[in-house]
Amino acid sequence: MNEELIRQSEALAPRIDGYRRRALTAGIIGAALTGFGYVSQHDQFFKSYLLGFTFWISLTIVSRMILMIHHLAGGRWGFAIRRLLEAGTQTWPVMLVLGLPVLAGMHELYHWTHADAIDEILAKKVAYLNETFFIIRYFLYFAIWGGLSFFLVRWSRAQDAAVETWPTQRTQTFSGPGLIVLVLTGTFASVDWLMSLEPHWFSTIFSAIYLIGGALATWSLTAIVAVSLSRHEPLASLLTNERLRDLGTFMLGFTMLWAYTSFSQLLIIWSANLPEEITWYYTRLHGGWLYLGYALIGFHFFVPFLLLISSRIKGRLKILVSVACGLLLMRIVDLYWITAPAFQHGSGVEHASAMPHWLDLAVPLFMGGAWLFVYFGQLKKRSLVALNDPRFDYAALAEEAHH
Amino acid sequence: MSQTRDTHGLMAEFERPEQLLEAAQRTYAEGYRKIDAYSPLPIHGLGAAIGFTHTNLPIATFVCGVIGAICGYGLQYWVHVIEYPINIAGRPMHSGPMFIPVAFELTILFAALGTLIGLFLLNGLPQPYHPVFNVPAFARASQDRFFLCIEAEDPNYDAASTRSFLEGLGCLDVTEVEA
Repeated sequence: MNEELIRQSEALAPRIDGYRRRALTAGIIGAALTGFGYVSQHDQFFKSYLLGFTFWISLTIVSRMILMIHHLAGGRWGFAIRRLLEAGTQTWPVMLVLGLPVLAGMHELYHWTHADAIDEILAKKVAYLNETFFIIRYFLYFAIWGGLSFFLVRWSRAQDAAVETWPTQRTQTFSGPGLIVLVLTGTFASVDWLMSLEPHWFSTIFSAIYLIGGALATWSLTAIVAVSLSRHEPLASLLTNERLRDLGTFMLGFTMLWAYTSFSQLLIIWSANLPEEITWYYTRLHGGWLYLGYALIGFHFFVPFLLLISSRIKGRLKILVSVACGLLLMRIVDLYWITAPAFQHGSGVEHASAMPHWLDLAVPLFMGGAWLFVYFGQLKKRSLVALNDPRFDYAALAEEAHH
Repeated sequence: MSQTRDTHGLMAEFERPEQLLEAAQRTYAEGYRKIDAYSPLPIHGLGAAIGFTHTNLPIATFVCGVIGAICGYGLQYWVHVIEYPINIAGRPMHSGPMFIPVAFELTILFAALGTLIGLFLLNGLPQPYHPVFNVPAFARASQDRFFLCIEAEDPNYDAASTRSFLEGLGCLDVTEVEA
C-alpha cells in the first residue's frame, strides 16, 4: 500500500511542478511591480505591503491551527488534506523574510513609533507598544510558529517511516498545548500588526475576526488545491465528492463565524456609542468605505452563505472552486477595509475614497507567488497521503480505489 | 394472480443492519419502488437504498427562515419607526445593527418551527394507524430487528413471486401485512 501511494504521488510531481512554475511566474511579475512601487510610490508602498503580508501570513498561521485541531480531534475530513495543511505550515520561513519590510517600514505604518505622537493614553501603552519590543515579538512569533512546524513535520515524517504508533500519539499530545500557544501568538500578532495601526482603539474580538478570516482563506485555498488534485490518484479515492463537500461545509461554517464575530464587534461598539471606540467605525462607515463595507456584507457573507448552504450546490465542484476563489479575494478586501482607512486621518473622512492603489494587488500577487511556490515545493516532496497512520483504515482506501 | 384487497404488503425480518441494507439495495435493483425499511438505529445509506434521495424539507426550513427574518426586522421597524417612535438620547429611530439580533433569533425560531411542521407534514404525521403494526414481530423494530416491507401497491407486487424473492434475501421470516 505504501509503495503504491508513494509511486502515485511521484507520478503527480510534474503536475505540481506545473502549479509551481505558475506561482513562480506570478511571483516574479508581482515582485517586479512591487519593486517598481517601492521606488516610485514610496508613500503607498508599506501600506500595501502590510495588506499583502497580513493576508498570506494568516494562511500560514491557520494551516497549522487546522492541522493541530485535526491531530487532536481526528475525523475523516482532515486525513486527505493533511499534506496540504502541512505544506501550508512550512511556508513560515519565506513569510519571516517577506515580513521584514514591515519592520523596516514601521515609521511609515504605525504612528505610535513617533515620539511626538505619544499622548497621555499612548504613554500608558509604551511598555508594550515600543519599537524594540515590537521587533522582538515579531521574531518570537516566528520562532514559535517555526518550532511548532518543526515538530509537527518531524513526527509526521517519523510516522511515514515507522509502523509503531508513537509519532501519532506524540503529535496528538503535543497539539493540545501547542494549539493554545498558537492561538495566543496569533492573537498578539494581529494586535501588533493590525490593531496597533490605530493605537487608541481596541477591540477584544478583533484577533478572533482576523484568525477566523484566516481560517476561511485557508479552507478556500485548501478546497481549490484539493479539487485540482482530486482528479488523480492517490487522492482521487480519498477526496471523494463527499469529502470535498466537507471542505465546502467548513467554508460555510467559517463564513458564518466571520460574519458573527464581525457583526458582534460592530453591534457592541454601535450600541455603546463611546467616543474612544467609535472612531474606528466612524471612518469605515463613511464615504467610500461604507460602500466597501456593504460589499463585504454581500460578498463576504450573503453570496457565499447562500451558495454553500445547499449541499447540492456545493457538491458541484466548479461552484465550490468559484466560491473559494471569491472568498480569497474577499479576504483581501476585508483586510483592505481594516488597514487602509487607518491611514486616512483628519478632515474629509465623510468623502474619503475607498479606491485601492494598484500596489494593493501587486503585493498580494508577489507574496502569493512566493507563498505558493514554497507550498507546492513542500507538497511535491512527500507522499500526498500520510502513511502508516494508525487511525486510518487503509484497507477501505484500497477498496475504494478498486471501485 | 390477483392480490387481495386487505393486504398492505409483505414484510421481511432481518437480524442485522447490513442484511437490511443489502436487501434494500437488491429490492430496489429488482424494480420495486413502493418499499419501506424499518430499523431501530440509523443506517448510513439506507435512505438512498430504498430510493429516498430527495426531500423538500430544506426548502421549508429556508423559506420559513426568510419569513422569520422579515418578521423580526419588520416588527421592530414598525414599532420603533412607524407606530410608536421614541427619541432616546438622539439615537436614530431606524437603528439597523440593533435590529439584527432579534431578526436573527426569529429567523432561527421560524426555521426551526418550519422544519418541525414540515417534517410532520412531509412524513404524513400524525398517523394513528399504520398496517405494519399488525405484524406481531414488528414490535422488535424499535429494539433489535430490521424490517423491509414491499407494499402491495407496487406494480411489480405479486403475492407469490414477491414472497419467494424476499425469502431469497436471507431473512428470518416473511409475513403478510394485513391492511
